[in-house]
Amino acid sequence: MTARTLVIVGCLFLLPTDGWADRVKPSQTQQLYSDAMELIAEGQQEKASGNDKQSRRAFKKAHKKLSRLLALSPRYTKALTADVEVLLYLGRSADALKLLNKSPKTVAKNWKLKHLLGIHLFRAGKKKRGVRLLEQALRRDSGLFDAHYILVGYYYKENKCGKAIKHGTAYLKLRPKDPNIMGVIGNCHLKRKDLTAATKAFERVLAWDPKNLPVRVNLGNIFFQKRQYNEAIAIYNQVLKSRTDLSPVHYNLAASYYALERWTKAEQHFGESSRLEPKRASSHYFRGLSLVELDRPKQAVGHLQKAASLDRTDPWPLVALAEIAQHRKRLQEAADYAESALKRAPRNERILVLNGMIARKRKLYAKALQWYDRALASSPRNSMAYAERGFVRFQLGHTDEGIADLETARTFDRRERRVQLWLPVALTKRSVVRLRRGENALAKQDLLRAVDIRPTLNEAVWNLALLYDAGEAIGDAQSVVRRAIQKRPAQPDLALLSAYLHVRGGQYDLALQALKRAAGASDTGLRWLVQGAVHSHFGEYDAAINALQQAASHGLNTGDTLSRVRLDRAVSLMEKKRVQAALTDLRSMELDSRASLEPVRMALMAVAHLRLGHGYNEANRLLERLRRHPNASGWGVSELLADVDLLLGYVRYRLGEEKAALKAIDRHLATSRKDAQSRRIVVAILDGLAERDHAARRFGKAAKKARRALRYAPRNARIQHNEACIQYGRGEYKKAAKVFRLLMAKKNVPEAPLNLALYLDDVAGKGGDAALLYREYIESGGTAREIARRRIERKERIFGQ
Amino acid sequence: MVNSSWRVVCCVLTVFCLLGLKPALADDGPVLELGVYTPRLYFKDNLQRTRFAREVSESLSKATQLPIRGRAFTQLRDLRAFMNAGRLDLGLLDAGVLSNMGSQVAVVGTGASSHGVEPGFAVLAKDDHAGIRSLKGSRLALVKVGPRELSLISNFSLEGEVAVEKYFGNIRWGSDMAEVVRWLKSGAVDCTLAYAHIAQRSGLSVVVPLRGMPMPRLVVVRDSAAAPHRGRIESALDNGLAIPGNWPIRRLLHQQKGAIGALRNAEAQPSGRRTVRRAVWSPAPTESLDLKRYRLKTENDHRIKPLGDRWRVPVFSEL
Repeated sequence: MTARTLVIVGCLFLLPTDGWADRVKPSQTQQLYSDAMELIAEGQQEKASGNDKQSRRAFKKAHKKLSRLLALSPRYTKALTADVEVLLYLGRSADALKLLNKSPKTVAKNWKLKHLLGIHLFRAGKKKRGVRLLEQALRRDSGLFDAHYILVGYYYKENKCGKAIKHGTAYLKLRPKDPNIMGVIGNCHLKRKDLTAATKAFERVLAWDPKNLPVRVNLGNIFFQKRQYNEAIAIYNQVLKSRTDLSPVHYNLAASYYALERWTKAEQHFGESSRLEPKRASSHYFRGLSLVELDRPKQAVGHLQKAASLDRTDPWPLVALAEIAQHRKRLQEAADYAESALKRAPRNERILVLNGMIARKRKLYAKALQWYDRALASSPRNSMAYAERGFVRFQLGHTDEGIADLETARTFDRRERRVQLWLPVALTKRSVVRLRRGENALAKQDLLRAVDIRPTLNEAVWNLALLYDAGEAIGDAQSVVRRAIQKRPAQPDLALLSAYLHVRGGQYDLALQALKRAAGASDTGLRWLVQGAVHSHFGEYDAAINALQQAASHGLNTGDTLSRVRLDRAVSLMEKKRVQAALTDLRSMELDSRASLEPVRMALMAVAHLRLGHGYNEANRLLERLRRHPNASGWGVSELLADVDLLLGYVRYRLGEEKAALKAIDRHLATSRKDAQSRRIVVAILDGLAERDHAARRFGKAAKKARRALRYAPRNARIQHNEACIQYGRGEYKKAAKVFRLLMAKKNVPEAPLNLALYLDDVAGKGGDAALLYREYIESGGTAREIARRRIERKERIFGQ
Repeated sequence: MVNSSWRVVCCVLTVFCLLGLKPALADDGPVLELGVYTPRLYFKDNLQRTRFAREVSESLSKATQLPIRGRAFTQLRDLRAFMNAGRLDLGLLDAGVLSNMGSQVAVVGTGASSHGVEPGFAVLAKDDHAGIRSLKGSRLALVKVGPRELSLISNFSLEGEVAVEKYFGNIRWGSDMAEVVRWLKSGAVDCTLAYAHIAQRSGLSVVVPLRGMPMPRLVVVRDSAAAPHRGRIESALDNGLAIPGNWPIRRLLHQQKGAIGALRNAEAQPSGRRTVRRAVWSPAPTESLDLKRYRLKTENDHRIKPLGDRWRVPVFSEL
């Protein structure tokens, strides 16, 4: 609906009624007025039926009639109003204004005329006056939709979106479903960034007028702004189905694809846009960038150069060209482009930084520093410039200053990629220097900071964990690694570190699990070391030893772990009764005689000898040496070392060195008086010594030893028997025989009946009784039955059977 | 007794006659007198015994190049008398008398029969017996060799099992084996103790074979004229000195150590008592250590030490 139509429709209200004609005969003026009204009605009908020429002719005739009428009666307000409206319809605002200016008083008193004056003034280009009059008219009558209509357009153009929306809304109350006004409202919302309201408005417009392309494009733009690129793309594509020649729509569509990183489509539509609008530099620029992303830098260069030539003020194509050259390692070319870009934007910090970066890559650190300083002078909060300068300073060896710059950069922009990348690295590097200097506290600060900034920086996590580990704070180390693993669960080095720390903490099951994830870890030596420790924990000693040897071959200091595992293996072999194998293994161990494990090895070897029941000479030597290491522990040897004198005594006893044995066991008994085993061995030794004396007829000495043995074992029947043997040797036959008889009754000592028989045979002259005892003794299986047998044989030989 | 003295005199005279006819030896020193007292050996008669003494002395003289004259004795007291008178320098004496000689003689050699230096001794009887159990209380004939012959026979030959004077009913003493054999054969006695091979020669039965009795010993009388030649005499026995003829002693050998000691011990004990054997010691079984009390255990917890300087240095990465 046009404004003209509105005016005509408005004029209909002004037509005279039939009543007038019935009452009086119309005057000339009335006749003219009546004719004019008829003509206006006719024009309106023609207008409605689409006959513009006929309607226009009718309106012109009506204007003539009304002009004659007003010449006759200039104060005929109705006629004036009707004429002004007809002129409005005819688009002759200048004539209308002349007409209205002839009767300003009439106009001043009539708000309708004011309304019409406002419209004509607006149309004649006197918009401010027209708007003021229209606002006044609307204050009188808010239902003046044409005034609203005009004001909507006016305020929209004046960027007074609030007022435009207000009048648009008022208009739409009067004339709902006007897509133009709704479109304007949508645009106003769009300008005011009220994307939701704008979307709503545009969608209503499109519901009323689906073919409204500008509104559809605007809706697409809204989705673009709302980053709903897929929706935007759908809308732009709909538009392009209707019209393919719209360069901005192609551009917008390409931008949407660009935003979605769909580089091929983006490049295609930027290309289309630049084809439709070849001088649009931005199309070339973004096409170039899309081609870069498509890894077609050679083609990109052409478009970027085109963009640079089309817009000689825009530095960014040159920046892009510089970056391409930089990536292609053509640093001189990059420097040239960057400097050209700088000429177009001499104070642009990004371009300054780009120049600095290129200089840095050309190792022109001093020059790079100058660029960064200029960038910072231009933009003191430029985090990129600080980061770059920090990096360069670090490379120049100004470690602290470099890190300070990187920290400043981080202060300004936590997300700056350079800071994310470089600051933790710089801190970690400095920490290593500090660690090697022994400044562990400072190094720890650096590493904590590095891990805080970049929890996934392996080296920082590694070093921090090892630093905690060195201070035996394994829990802290483990938590550092755990946090890093949460960020990078598949990182094998972290898994290896975790496994190592689990081993350090004695959590071998967890270490095993972690180790399974450490396949592919870079530190093979450490992997072997951890593997070795885990194997040894689970008793897989051969595998453990192999792993530890591998670790050592990879330059890892395994300390005494290998020896410890070999000791474990030896103990394990002994538990499996493979004592000889254990002994061989222990012998083959090469330990420094001052090593802390040497006493353990010696103790195990001594035990092996004792279990084998031979090699007492070596056992003797080992135990002699072990006496000097009373405090050795581990592998259960401490109990053994507490009894070293007893063991020494036992070994000497088995070697036949009874006196030395007795000396050693006496030492043991001095501290362990009630040790039954020691007492038993002492008794055996004393018995042996007494036997020797007895054999040598040193009965006095033998008796002394037997008495001493009896002090240790007063109820030992064998010693009692042997003491009787000594008495027998001394000629105290009866006394001894009494003991033999007693012990024979108790059946404790097998030799007692034999000795009693000898007494009967040799002393008492009771050979017959003796023969019975001899037989009894033989039947008992006594060790000296040969004596008895010979005696019986002799008797049988001499006396006969 | 008269009869036996006469026999001795005859023997001595015969020897003197024989020696007087013998040509002088190379060594012109004093003639060494060898007394032969071996009553336990069996000779048919005294002539045989004297001839044996002469054969021995000749063999020894030839071997030592010393003038030696042999003289046979059948009574111990004669031997003692000659020895005390310094009229004997050498002797071939029964082992049983040596313990009584004390330090008067030094043993340098031993006789060896065809059955060795200690031929088996035995209880001999005319009839067969299985052991001496059946001979208990029977008549026993013994050659009176030395003063403690009963102890020697009881304690050495019968190994102290019996005291012969208590076990056998009667003991009849003979001066030599020939006489004892005659008694046995005539039934005057029931048994005797002698070298077992005599039974074979004389047609007697061996009732019990007993331990070997040492053969007579060649001795040098101390401080006699033979004492300086002891070395020469011993070296003459180096390879064994054969005695020509079928004599109970076939050769003279070097002294066998130890044999006389057993005889001496037997003689020292009263008859029927042997040296009391020492009681048999009941040795304590070899003690073993209860090694289970030393519970070795695997550590299985080898906390590896902190790694030390294994710091990692990151590298700057480009954007």
